[in-house]
Amino acid sequence: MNNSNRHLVIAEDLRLLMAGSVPWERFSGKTVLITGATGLVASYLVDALLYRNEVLESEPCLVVAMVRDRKRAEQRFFNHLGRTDLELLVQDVTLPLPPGRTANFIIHAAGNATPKKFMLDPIGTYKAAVLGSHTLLEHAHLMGCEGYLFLSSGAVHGAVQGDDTVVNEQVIGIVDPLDPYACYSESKRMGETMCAGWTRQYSLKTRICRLSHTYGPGLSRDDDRAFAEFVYSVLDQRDILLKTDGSAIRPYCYLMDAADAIFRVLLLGADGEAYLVANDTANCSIRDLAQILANLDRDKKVCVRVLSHERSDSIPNKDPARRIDVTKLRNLGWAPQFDIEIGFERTFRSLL
Amino acid sequence: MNTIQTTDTFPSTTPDKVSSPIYRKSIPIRDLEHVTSNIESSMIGWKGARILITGATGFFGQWLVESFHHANQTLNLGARLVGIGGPNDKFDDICPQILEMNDVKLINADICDLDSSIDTLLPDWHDRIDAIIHAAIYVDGETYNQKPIPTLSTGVKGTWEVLEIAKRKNVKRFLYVSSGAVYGTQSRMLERIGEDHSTSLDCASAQSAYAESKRFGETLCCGYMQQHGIPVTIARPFAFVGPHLPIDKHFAIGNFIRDVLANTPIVIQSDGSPIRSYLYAADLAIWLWTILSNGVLGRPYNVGGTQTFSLLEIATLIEKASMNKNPIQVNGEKVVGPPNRYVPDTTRAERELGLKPIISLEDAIHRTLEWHRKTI
Repeated sequence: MNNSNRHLVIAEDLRLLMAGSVPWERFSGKTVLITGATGLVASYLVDALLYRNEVLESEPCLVVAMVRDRKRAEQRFFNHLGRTDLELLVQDVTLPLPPGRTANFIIHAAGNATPKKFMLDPIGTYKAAVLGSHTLLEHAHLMGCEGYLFLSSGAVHGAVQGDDTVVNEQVIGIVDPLDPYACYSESKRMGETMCAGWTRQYSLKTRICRLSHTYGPGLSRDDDRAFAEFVYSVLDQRDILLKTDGSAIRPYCYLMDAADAIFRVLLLGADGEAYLVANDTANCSIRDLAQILANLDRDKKVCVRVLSHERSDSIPNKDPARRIDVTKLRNLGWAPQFDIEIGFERTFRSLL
Repeated sequence: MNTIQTTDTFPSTTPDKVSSPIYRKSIPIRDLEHVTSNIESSMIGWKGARILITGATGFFGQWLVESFHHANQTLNLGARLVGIGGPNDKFDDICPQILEMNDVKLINADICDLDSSIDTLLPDWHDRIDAIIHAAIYVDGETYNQKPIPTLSTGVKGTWEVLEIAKRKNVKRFLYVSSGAVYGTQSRMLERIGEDHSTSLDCASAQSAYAESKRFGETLCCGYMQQHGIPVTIARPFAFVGPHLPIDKHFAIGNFIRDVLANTPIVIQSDGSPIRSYLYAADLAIWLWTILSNGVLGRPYNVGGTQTFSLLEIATLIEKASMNKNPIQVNGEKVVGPPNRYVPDTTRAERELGLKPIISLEDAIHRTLEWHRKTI
């Protein structure tokens, strides 16, 4: 099984991930169901578990990758098709699992995650996060799951007042349930409340990860988040266009660090609790990030062009605040390994 | 406008069996006249209409159904109403007065499964429903304790099902009965909460099951409006008093009324300092019918009283009204600093829809006590 043709960058990432302190043996002989498995983060989790099976001597785990689109899944996992430790389950996440399909762990990652997608299809966004959660939580309870992890978002924090406010899991700002953007943040909020509810009523071992600005190998050309557009601009050797003054500072978390956090929270986190997942050492303004990416162009032709001097954080309700406190996650033994220069260089290289 | 179908009525159910409690459970006629006279211009638009109300056996639901019936008869609207109650609701016990109405039909159904069952339950209405008021959600003391899931399921899946029905039946108006709870805990420094205000609500907490379900319900309604063009209106009710308000649940004013009816001391669980404003249920019915009919689409309206009282003041008002001279017993320890508040800013409803409280709290308490004394 060691001959999977992974990109060198991903292979190096996973070797580092496996060398960390996540208790990987806990997955021995277990079934892990991952929904939305073709997504940026979820597909990386699938890859990580398959890699775990390759390098660890203990019993392999079975990865059940739930996807809507078989073709897309076969493209994403073409290196791994035919393996006995990977099963593609093509179905809508809101529908009951096929009879007999059980799992020891569930990671619910399905759902529209980029603004372009969720603004076009709010109802589809609610469905995956909320009805999907309802179906999966009920299954998890009936199957006696050892762990259920909901992939949430820092967006649940809404707009926290004050530039200097440090956001931890308890600091919740303004979320207007009627804002069009709320189809995403409010769905994630509801999914979290349901996790807390199933924990309260059935003592189900639910955990929540609130991701923020996660990037890495596999970044899609369809992704309309600013940093993804920058990466593809550089790949295409086009100038990077800034639609605002680019002053907003965000923490950028490399995928391997996020994956480490997710597995750690799943296996070591507290029941019914939320953990912010962000790289608190990798804060960067959008403008500086654009320059870092432009510098990756070998021919040094790509420039950063500022189209407007509107402040990039003047759009309300669009983003959680700037400084994120991840003490709770660090208390599980997590520490980020990739800074912005290296992380984006690796991302860029993985897409060449 | 649809043709008036005055002959198109529901068969009435066994009136003799339930005749005795009917008059006791009915809302007093002067309250119903008060409602009808204040919603006439809104209700004229519902001539011949088919109206569906979920949560019809609850406090809000019974007021909506009875005030509908009265307006329908008085204004000769020829409209009909179907009320959805929970699968195990015993209408004979809960609301026998409604079973007598030949323009209203009550149906037991699981709200989480309503879209697939509605056409079987209601074959005559398969082609259209004109208005839906969605007020159903399961909530009790256990919601905040060990059993939040029934609230989460009915709040989320129930709202979904009802919006799907609204989509298929091309409703002209949809009223989502949300809650002032969507704001989370009101800051003690904030006198009144306006609709644009949003405070903190910890979503990763089982305590938030009710509030978060209501928040998500609003978001979902707006998604259906955006994606499927459903004309959604939203009400955010705060605190109320009146006939049908449960007196043994988690409503302080209801508990005070229960205490004086039982002729026992009025027990205040807190230090008596929390500030509330109450709206009388008849005024509530006026507000809800008006928001359904005239509210701006997708725009939430706070619903509640304007005059504020501390819980101690409210207990004192009830004690005075009861004439029983029941002592007031304050159980909570004195809280330092500004008191807890749950008070809406209702300027929007007043400016845009001409809504304001008409019946004073003193009068509301008086009417509520009188109704309970008749029903005992």
